This record gives sequence, structure tokens and C-alpha cells, in this order.
Amino acid sequence: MGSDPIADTALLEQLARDVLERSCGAEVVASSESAWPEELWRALDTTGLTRVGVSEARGGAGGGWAEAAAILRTAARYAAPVPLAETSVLAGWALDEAAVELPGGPLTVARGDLRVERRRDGWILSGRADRVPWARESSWIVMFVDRRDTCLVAAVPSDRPRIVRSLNLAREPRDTVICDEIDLRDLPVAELESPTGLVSRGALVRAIQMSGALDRVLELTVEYASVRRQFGRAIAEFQAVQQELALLAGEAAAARAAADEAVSAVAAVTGTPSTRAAHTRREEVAAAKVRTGIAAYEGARIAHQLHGAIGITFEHQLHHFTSRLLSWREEYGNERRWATELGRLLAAMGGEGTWRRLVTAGDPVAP
Amino acid sequence: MTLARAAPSTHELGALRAEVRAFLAEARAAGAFIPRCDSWISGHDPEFSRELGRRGWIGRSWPARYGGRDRDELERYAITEELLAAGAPVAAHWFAQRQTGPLLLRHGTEAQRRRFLPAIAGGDCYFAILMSEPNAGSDLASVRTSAEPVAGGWRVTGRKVWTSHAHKSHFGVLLCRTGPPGERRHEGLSQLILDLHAPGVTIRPIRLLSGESHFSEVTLDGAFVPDDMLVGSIGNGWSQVLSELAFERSGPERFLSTMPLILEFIDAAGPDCAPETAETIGLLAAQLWTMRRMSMEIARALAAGDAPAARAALVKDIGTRFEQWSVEAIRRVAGREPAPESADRISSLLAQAIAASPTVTLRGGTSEILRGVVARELASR
Repeated sequence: MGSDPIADTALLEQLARDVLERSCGAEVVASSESAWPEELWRALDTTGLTRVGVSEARGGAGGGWAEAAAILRTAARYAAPVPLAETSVLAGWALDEAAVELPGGPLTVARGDLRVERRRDGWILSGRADRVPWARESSWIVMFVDRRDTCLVAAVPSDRPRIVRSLNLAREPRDTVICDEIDLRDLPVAELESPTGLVSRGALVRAIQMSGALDRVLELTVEYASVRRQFGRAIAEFQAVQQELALLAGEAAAARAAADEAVSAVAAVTGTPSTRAAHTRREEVAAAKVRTGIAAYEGARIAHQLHGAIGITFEHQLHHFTSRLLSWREEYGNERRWATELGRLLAAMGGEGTWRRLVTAGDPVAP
Repeated sequence: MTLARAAPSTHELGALRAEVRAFLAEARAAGAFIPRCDSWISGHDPEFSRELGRRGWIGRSWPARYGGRDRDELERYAITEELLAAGAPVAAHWFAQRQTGPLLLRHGTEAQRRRFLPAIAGGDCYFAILMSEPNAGSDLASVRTSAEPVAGGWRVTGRKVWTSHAHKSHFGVLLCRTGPPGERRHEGLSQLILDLHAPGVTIRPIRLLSGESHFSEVTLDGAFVPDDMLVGSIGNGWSQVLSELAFERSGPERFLSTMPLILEFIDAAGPDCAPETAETIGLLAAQLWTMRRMSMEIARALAAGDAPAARAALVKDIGTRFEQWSVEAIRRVAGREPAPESADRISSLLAQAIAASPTVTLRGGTSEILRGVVARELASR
């Protein structure tokens, strides 16, 4: 029923799976807080997986949202503790957009209370941005400075700002970046049309990642319920447990469908794939972030309930996925934030307009 | 159904939707119907069904030699969605189109297809689904209605309940016992096409809490079914029913039953609505988009000849829980009391939706049974 770009990414997904299977075992995830997983990063980087979604002209590996989504979803299945999305479709996108060649190494994006002032022949950057993923490990940080109707993007080597370490629930780096009069004169700076592009893209990225993590959580839980025996039989044979397993499967399937729907819609925006697509299809992106956010909580809750006490230990890998789910649902806007925005957009269309919009998801549109 | 066809373009689909919408707007303006929730089960209107049939909007994906239009499944899906969202009275032909047609295309004899499919597609011939019994609701394998072989056919005896519109339908597809159940209880079941006007068939409507009577009880007292009305093969009823259930459970009516209320609510909200109202609309839309994708994926699998029973069960569970939730979510922020027959559209639609709410997670398989189906599939992965 219509061609769907996301159906054709199986090979890429397999490649990502092979790399992650080799380089992203549970021990790599478990030790990532104390040690940057250099080997994992290098394995992803040498295969080009860190640069999918960025045009080849700027040093990317090409591909659009469909390809990037396949990789990000797979990486989330392994809780890969590296800034894959940040390097490719967030920072990479902005640099691509600004016609800047991608520097090497992991990249990240910062947005917050940042401001620029014009001094003689260039810009000076000051202020701070909180919750910046992997700032401490990045080679460059792409700073987003909101201005009245536009957004200034500046690529800054990560040794220029001061970085204060901080974490999210999954203990992934979410650092504070403090800029004290950084001279941007010799650095790449560009003006982008809209400051909201980053938020839409970030929301879509987290939705895709949540769908991948939920797939894995379901897998782990089904496996555990079939192995764990109580009262003389596998707990999966108890109807009470089966009911919960089915609900978990439902949430995982819904998250996958919600993320896929947004990816299809964004991928169907014609023209340059990696530019404003996520903003053009803001409704689908909002819907994906809302639905995956709901599924994240329900899924994590059921998975822990069925795993019992072993699931709350550090040693068991379940928490690597559930804590990421609970972090990712907050990042780039939680369910309430996006539902309210989506609701306002639809309310302005009225009942009939909303219906039309609902049934045209995924139709090709111009950016 | 399994023929490969070129999928319609976005433009073609858009044009088809526009055509259906224009027809619906006109019919509504002419007073042919008042939009209502749950219209695929509550809105029985043979004249309306015949008009849809004339326009080629029933059984559109079926082969032309059986009265269909040879169109892609996506077109049928689009038409179905438009009719449901508009709350149009589509119950008369609903069950025949949704499951009897596909059943006959898969398992029917050539003579059965030629006799029934064109009449179904014309909106002229309605089928009731005779599965549940007083002691076999969710547990279909314990069906006791029996068919006893006699010269030239069978005599059927037993009782069926919760049959939608049996009293207004022409035929029924009867799931009955033609042999012993065997160890797994799934053997010895067969499907027969029963003439609902045959001697020995008594139909009694069942009045529901809403005051409506769209369900009925069908008592069979030695009614005769000729040999050539057997669907598929003897004893194969269980597996035939399983694929039929995938059609029954995965369609858009499992999450669009309250759409007329949702759209009316959004219309009334307006762009400057309160934050709680906007959030509610966003939550509704986010779930609708998701379920639509899940349901369409199954429609695609069904069109390709698969029977994704577990995925269909999963979609029905999520979809019907959404329907119940949608009514509550709107009620909380709509700021009006649900009132049957109220002149206020939201009040009356809320009243309809609340009255129908308990049935949505029961009809077509209770949520608990559906989750059991899903869990069994998970275990076998």
C-alpha cells in the first residue's frame, strides 16, 4: 500500500546490529559512566554510522531520516552510550545546513541561555546551556543561539567553554556548558531560519530511540518470563503475567508505529532531506514524542514488575534501557508539552481540518 | 484479494476521499443521516448501504467478476475511514463486507462467490456472524450448536447470541459442530451459510442498556442447510474463523468509533482553547495516528493473504481501550453533561459514546482473551 522509505533500510540496520553486537555488550554500557567507550565509537565511526543523515558533500555518509532512524533505533536496542544522534542528525544537520564541513570526533548540540554580541568585526558568544549531551567527550559543540526570528549556529571546539559535568537518569552525560566571551571570529557561524528546528529534530530522535529501547525491553521481559520458574512453572504461564506481557507488547508496538509514522512523514518531505523536514511535519513529530513518551513509562513499569527484584539490581541490564526510556521522554519536550502544542495546531484547523490532517500523514509535501 | 495491483497514488486517494466526503456532506445536509458514534454497529440503513453499493464503495478491492472494482485495499480502507469519521449509517452491510466477503474469497465455492459477493458489494445482501453462544463467548471452541447430516445437507440445532443485526440480515455464517472436538478442542468445527428466513430459525432482538437492540439471539431448531452452503471444508472451521477474526479485529472501526465525538469536540474547542483542552486534543491525535498506522499494516498483510491473528488482537486491545479513554478524556474537559437526544451535539454524542463504552472491549473478543492471544504468540517467537 504505497512505497515506504523506511522499509528499505534492512541492510543498514543489519550493519549497525553487527557492529553493536561486537562492540556494545552489556559491560560496555555498564562501565560507560566512568570510561568513554572509545572502541565502540571508533567501530561506529569507521563504518560511517556516526554520519548518516549528513550529506556527503560535508563529510557525512549521506542518507536521510529513514536511514538515520534505522541506525538510531538499533543503537538504542543496545543502549549505545555514545552521542550518535547528536553527532549525525543534530549537530551534523546544523553544520550541513550552515555549509560547514563536519569536524572529526563526537559532536553535540547546546541550546539554552546563550547570547551573542557584535564586537568590531565578529561575534562574541556568552551564556550557558544546560543538559548538553556528552559535552565533556565532544570534539566540537554546535551552539544554538536564539534570536528574534532566526537562530545563530556556531561550531565551537569543546575546549573553549567551561564544562560542568551532570547526568540524566540513565547516567548519560548531560553537562552544563558555560561560555565566557568566546570569540567566534575564526569559527564557523551561520544563521538558520528557525530556532525550533533543533527541538523538532531532537524530539523525533528521542522518539525513535525510545521505540528501539522498548523493543529490547520487551525482548528481555519475554525471555525472562519464559525462563524464570515459580510455583513449579515458568511465570509466563500465569495468566496474570501474560496479560501484562501483552500490554507491554502493545506499548512497544505502538511506540514503533508512532516513531515510524513520524519518520515516514518527515522522509516524505521532498527536497533536501535533512533540512527543515522535521519542522514541516511538526504534527507527526509531536504525536510520535507523545505516544512514545506514554509507552516509555508503561513499558518500563511493566518490565520491572515482571522482572521482579533482579530487575532493580545494577548488575541486571534491564535498567540501562528503562532508565534511558525515562530520560528520553523528558528530553526535547515531554508528553504534556508536545500534546499541548499538537492540540493547538489541530484546534486551529477545526474538526474537518484535523481529520484531513490525520489521514494525510506521510503524503509527500514540499518543505 | 491477493492479486498484485499498483497502489493508488496519493493524488488518487485524495480524490477518492474528497468524493466520499462530498457525498457524505450532501447526504448529511439532505437529512439522510445524523452523525453518531459507533455508527458501524448502530446505524442500520439499507437505503444508505445500497447507495454506497451503487457508487462502488462496498467490496471495492474484490475482483470485478464478483461485483468488486479490482481496486487496491488502500482504497477500501480510505472509504471505510471516511464513513466512520462522519458517523454514517453503515451497519447494514458492514459485517458482510468486513468478513463474509473476504471469507468467501478465501474459502468459498465459485457458486457461493458468484451468488453472494455481487449482492454484498451492491449493498443489498446482509450477513450476520453466528459465532458466540450462551456458553461460548470468548471460548469459541466450546461451541455446541450442531449440524447433523441429512439427505442433501444438514439440520442445525442450537442457540447463538450477540449476533449483530440478525433480525435485519438475510444470511448468517454459522460456526457449528460437525464432528467431535478432539484433544485440542479445535477439530470438528465447520462454517455453514444459513438462510435466516428458513423454517426453524427464530430471531429475538436483545435490548441493550442504551435502549437499542442491534444484537439478537438466534435459536436454531432443526433448520435445514443445503450441502452447497458449506464454506471451505468440513472440520476446518477453526482455522477459517481465526483468519476471519483478524479481519474482524484490526479494522479502523476498532479505534474510530468515537471519532464523530472527537471531531465535534475539536471543532468546538477553537484555536484559543484552554491548555487542558489543547493537551487532550494532542493526546487524542497522537494515539489516533499511531493506531492508524498499526491497523493499516495489518490491512496490508491481510490483503497479501496473511492472517496476523496476534497483531490484530493487539490492535483491537489498544484501539478499544483508546475508544473508552477518549470518551473520558473529552468528558473531563468538555464542561457539559452527557445527555441523550440533547440538542447540544457534544452532549448527545457523549451520551451515545458512554452508553456504548462497555461493549467496545467485549465485542469481537474481550480484551483479556486478546491479550492471551498476544502472549501466546510472544512465547512462540
